[in-house]
Amino acid sequence: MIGPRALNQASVTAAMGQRVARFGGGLARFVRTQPLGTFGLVVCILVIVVGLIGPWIDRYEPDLATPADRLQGPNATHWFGTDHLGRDLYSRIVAGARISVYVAFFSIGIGTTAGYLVGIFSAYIGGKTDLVIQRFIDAMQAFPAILTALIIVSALGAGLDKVIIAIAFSLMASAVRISRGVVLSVKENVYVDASRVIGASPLRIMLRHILPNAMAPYLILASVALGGAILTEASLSFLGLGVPPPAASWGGELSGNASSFMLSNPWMAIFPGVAIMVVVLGFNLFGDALRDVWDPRLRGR
Amino acid sequence: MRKYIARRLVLMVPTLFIFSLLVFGLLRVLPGDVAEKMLIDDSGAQTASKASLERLREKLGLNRPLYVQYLSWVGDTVRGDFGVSLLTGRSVIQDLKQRLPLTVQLALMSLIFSTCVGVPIGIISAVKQNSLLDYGLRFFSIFFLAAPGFWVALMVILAGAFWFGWVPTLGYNLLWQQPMANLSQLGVPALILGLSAMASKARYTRSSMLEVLREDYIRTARSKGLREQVVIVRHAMKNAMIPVLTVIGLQFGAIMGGSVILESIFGIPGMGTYLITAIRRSDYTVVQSVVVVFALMFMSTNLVIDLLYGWLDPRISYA
Repeated sequence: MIGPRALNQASVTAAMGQRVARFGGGLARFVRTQPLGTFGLVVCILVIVVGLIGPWIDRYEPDLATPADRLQGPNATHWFGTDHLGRDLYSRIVAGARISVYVAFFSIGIGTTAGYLVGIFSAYIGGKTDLVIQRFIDAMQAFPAILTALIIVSALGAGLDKVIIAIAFSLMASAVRISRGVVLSVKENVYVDASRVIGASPLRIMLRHILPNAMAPYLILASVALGGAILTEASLSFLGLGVPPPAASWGGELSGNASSFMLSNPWMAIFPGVAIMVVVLGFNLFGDALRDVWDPRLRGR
Repeated sequence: MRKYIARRLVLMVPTLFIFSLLVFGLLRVLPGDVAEKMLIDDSGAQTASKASLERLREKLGLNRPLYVQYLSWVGDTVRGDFGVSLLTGRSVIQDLKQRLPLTVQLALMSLIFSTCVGVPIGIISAVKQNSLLDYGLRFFSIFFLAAPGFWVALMVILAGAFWFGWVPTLGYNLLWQQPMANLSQLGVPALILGLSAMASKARYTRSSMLEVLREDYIRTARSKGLREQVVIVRHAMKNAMIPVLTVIGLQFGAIMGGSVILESIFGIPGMGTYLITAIRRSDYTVVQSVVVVFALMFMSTNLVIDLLYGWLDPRISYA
């Protein structure tokens, strides 16, 4: 005889199996209908993996300077050549992937998430609170995001964590706007009234009823913003206001001293730029495909 | 209409007030004030005594309470007095007069370029949906959306130096002083600056056009025998442009941000290089003024865009 407990476990396993199958089916459909998005997904996975296992696949210490080997073109010992200090470019590109992925995911994770939560709060509470919050967002949006990040990073000083905070902050305003718009329509649903009637607290309604129903736009927003965050990090580091040297940030590779050696070894300028471009392209394509799949208004186009 | 503009202008006041508070608060978090940086000697060591630091702070007004500093800044700015650079002692308004025209011109040139190229690309792409041309143009725009502007600029400079012996000039002329020299100097940076804006306009125009082309009135226009050209230009394009306008407004912010970076690559003495130098040296007065000017530019552009809506879409009225 099967006890209630065992039955429960069996149904849980079955439910999980269903979920896995549904995920697999969704993935297969995604691959079939979104060839460019799939390419983007592959690039994303690739760069994340490179970022994670970087220290195992680089060929030299990324910061190791061997002046005797400086300014080489691509060859068998240095696949991508070397820079003006004789550092192996391939190893630095690999190390840069880690920085880019790290900055992108953390800044989106903090900025977009915080902005989204503020937007939910603002839209659900409404009234004067909403008005005040929206005026602050107006003020933040009165300034280009990249310049906001620039000013903040200059106030905080250079550093990996500071770049993350700066980019996160610059992303908040648009996240607040978008989530507010979504929640204004979600909160009109009957189930929101129903849970209010049975005495659920506003916090519970926001987190358990509104948040899950506003999840798709959040994921779309976050995935679309990832490429932008990588670009912003690269731009800040390029200006010398981002991740400080000798860290192998892709933007930093192109800046300052390095740029004066580019005529003698153009590869120094080509590889980091191509790395930025391919990764941003991958994240953008994946984000766009995700939006096509999830945003019902765009479906079937 | 006039009433609407007036209301919008009044609404800008609280926004600017909050904005100025944010900027001021943020800048005063800066570690190491300008007084310290001014007294650093050539070797980078801090040799000045505490007393001389204090004297300098007093001279610059940095030892006053923060709210006094804030109020005097706002008061001066409203009266059009942007103060003097803490570092060079030059009047900020004089500097702005020289630098603003270059940046505005750069931004406008790339705005015009990106709109005049991006929008037609999007329309062609939509009209010839799923053709080889469409795929080609879409790839083109995806490419430039992902390529960082500063890198494209570096590549252009590298390629120019390699194959054509071309180097970007140092020293820029103003448009009304030497028009030809000015245009040839700013042309390349403006093109590069406009590339990603062009790409995103092409993409928005394409999707907006596709949406409009599915509307009933387009079918009606076609079935009453209008030429395809007329259908596209007179019926579809005008309606498809409305969402694209918003993007053009938002793009202006991205163009301003991009110009800060491109100016420093091409050594253009505009607002961008001014801002970056001031940031590096914690020159508050300059940073504050540049930031306020940027915000004003951005806000007024978006006001103009909103007014253009009414012109494009008669259903929107600002009575």
